Amino acid sequence: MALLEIRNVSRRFGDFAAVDDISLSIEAGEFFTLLGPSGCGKTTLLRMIAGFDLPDAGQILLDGVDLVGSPPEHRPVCTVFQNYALFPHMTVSANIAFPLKMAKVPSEQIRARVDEALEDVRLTGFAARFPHELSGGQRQRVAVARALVSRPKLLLLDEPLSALDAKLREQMQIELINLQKEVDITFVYVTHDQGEALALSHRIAVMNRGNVEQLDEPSRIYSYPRTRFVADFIGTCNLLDGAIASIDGASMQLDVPGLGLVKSALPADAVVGRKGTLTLRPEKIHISAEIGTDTAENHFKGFVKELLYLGDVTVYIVQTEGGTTIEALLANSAAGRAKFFEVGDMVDIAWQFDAGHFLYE
Amino acid sequence: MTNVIRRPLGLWLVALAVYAFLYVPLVIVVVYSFNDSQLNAEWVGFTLDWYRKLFHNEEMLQAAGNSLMIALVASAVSTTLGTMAGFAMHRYRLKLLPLLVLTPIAIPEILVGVSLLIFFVMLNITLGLVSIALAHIAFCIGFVAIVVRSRLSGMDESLTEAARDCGATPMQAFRLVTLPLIMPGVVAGALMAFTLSIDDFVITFFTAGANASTLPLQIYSMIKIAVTPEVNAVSTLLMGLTLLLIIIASKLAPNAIRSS
Amino acid sequence: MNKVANEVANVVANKLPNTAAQRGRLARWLISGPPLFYLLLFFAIPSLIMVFASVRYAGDYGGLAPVFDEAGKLDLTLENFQRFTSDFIYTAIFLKSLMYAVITTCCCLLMAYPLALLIARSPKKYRDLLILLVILPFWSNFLIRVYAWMIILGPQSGLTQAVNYVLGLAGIEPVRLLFTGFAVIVGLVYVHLPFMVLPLYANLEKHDPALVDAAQDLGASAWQRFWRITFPLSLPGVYAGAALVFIPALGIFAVSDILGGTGSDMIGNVIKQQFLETRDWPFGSVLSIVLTVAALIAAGIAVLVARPRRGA
Repeated sequence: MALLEIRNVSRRFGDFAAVDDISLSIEAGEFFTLLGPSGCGKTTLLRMIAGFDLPDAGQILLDGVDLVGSPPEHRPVCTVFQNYALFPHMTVSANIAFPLKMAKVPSEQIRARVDEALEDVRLTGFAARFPHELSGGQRQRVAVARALVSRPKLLLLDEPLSALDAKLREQMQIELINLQKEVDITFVYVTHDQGEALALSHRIAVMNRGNVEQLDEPSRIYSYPRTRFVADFIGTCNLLDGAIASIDGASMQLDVPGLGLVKSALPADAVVGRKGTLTLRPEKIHISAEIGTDTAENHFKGFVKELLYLGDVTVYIVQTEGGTTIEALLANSAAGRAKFFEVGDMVDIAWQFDAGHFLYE
Repeated sequence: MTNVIRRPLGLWLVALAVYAFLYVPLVIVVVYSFNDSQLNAEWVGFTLDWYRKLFHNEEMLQAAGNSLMIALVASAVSTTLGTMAGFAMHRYRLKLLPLLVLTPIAIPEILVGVSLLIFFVMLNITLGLVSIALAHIAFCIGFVAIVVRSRLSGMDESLTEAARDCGATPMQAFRLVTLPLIMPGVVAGALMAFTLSIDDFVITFFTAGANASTLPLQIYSMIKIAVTPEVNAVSTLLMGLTLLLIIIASKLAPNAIRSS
Repeated sequence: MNKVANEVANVVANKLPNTAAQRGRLARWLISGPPLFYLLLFFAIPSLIMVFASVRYAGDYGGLAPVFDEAGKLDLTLENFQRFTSDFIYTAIFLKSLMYAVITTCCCLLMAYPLALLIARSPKKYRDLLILLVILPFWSNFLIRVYAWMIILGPQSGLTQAVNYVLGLAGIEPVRLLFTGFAVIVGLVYVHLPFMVLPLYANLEKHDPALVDAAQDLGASAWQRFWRITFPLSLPGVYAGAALVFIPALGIFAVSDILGGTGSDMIGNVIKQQFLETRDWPFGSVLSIVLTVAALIAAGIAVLVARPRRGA
């Protein structure tokens, strides 16, 4: 049985449905992420799990027990707040000891467990400091330690890394992954940063406007987005709208206005005339000066309209003869050359016929 | 360059004149309290006679004692009630309580004094120290509530949530997290209530009756009946005390004072 | 007892919206109840009693006559109100109080504005100190501040003598400064000045200095910059300060009692007389109601004009 089960949970504010009939299960030991843009309902859902908000409908079951009716202090769930919420008038050790005091743990044990928690987040020696004496990253670790010290069944993290700078964030991400494995506690993580979600999670629930658009492993979400929103939200994606023109064995031809006929892998329930979108990741596209002849690939002629040199890679925006622009990503690995093409160059772009993923309308 | 233009000399002069306007009268009071002359006219010589006379003035000492007692009781009760009111106004969307709390402060004091006079007489409550204290509490609640409420709204809400998340009941969260953090505001409110009570004249005037006297009432009768520099002396002492209290209060809650 | 308090107070800080409404309401009453009860008892009810007293007869020995007469009939009258409207002297005093309050407000504004402006534009580290210096006199006893002006305006003071000397040069009779309307106004201004400075300062401090710089850059003179940029933006502070000065000044009696002569009585003085000397409480209540209505109207106007308008 899943550790946390969310069954048909809804939360409305007036006419606005922040969380709209969501159901999902979270397994024990998972690093589970709720990902989505602001306003999609991920934080609302998290708060309902923590107990700071109650659903208008549905159930939230932890180990089979409905949490509704249980105030936050009685739930075996702990939260790491976005702004850390460390008690400014208490030392680091008093902060971390707080949940243990509330649970009436004998004081001899408290000392030991606080030290253990500090070790877990690698802040040994900071026990006597006050929150205002710590850096952002250190405060964040104290917040994590405080949330873990009472060994909750579930740890909720509300965008905990959003206030840190990029380098520190990357560091903390690795630390969080390791920490989760070490303490073997289920993490439910909320973020709007899709890169972070892909890096940290075992599974991601992509949310939009109160609904879960896709719930899957990171690699599947990336390569096989199930809706247009997910394709667009995760990484960059070329979205080619068209209709199925013909079906040919294990492949099909799509009629994409502004581009032409595109060969694509055959999805289930394919019917001629059906409309949809082909999602195509830029790194799957090759660019060359000569026209290729491999029939397993799609080839289109065009010229480089714009490019973005990013040091390790270059993004090329190619305008095809039909008028559609396609974004391609090339690694700049050729020795001696910074980039392959310049603006205005005539090029041939190509991709394997099964490199894209077709979504029905 | 722009600084000078933004703060031209003319502005400086007017501002200084206003500061002088504010302080010169008080300086004169203080200075003449040491003046060896019955009249507050010109400087004759230094003396501490007036202060000595003050400490032998039975009525004055009694009044000072009364003021102190009333102020202690009034500030204790109004701080408790005012903190509750401030908390309730911050936490809940109330209509009646804010109105009742803030109106006594907004309207002219004489109205509060007069209506309480009628009220006490109607209920056959003898006018005296008790009636004064009850009246003081009524208008001090508002000040404390404002200070506490502003301190609460400046506090991070997620701290109370974090406390509950860590297993604290709402009562524990309030006691261990909220209260310590608003305490400077509560203390500042208490000091303010104390000062307001000691200094109050109008409301006390109507609710004191014939027999009870507080320091401001004594000062008033001295001013009306026989003006001697004893008034200066007691004024100087009172100013000193108030200054001390304000300094203490400002150390504890620098922004609470401003927001009032 | 502690367990009960704990149980009940368990929902005190509880913001859960769907909690059993009863428990949430109980906690609310526990917290807001005591102050609410106290103020109802010692503020709201006395005020209502006072309003009611205005339609009663005065007692034989002062105070209030019983509500029911010997026959058990309700013994009420509107004669107190009639007296106010028919006897012009009271209206005149009321109008004079209004005038004094208006003059005081204007004087306070003229004096406070430059001061508030200067402090708001001073370097940050000095601002708190400068404002504290403004507030400090306020924290001395109200009577002391009034008494100080008794000294300064007294017949033997240096100021009075200097003024009369100058007047003497011009061939004018010596004047008395104390116990005049002039003294009352000076006292009123002195007592209420900090109330005008603080809201003005609070407002001016938030002004973006770039606005004035931009105006200057576009060719505005110092006066234009003030009149067209700074002053309009400061209006909310002006209104707040005006309300904080006007309303209390209207109801003052101590200042006019100490510094004023017989000709400078304000409505506060008359109310005091009615309640403590003449002991005509019903009539005193009428006067108090008039004062309350005036204060409420002024407060209402202040709230209305302070409301943010389109684009604010």
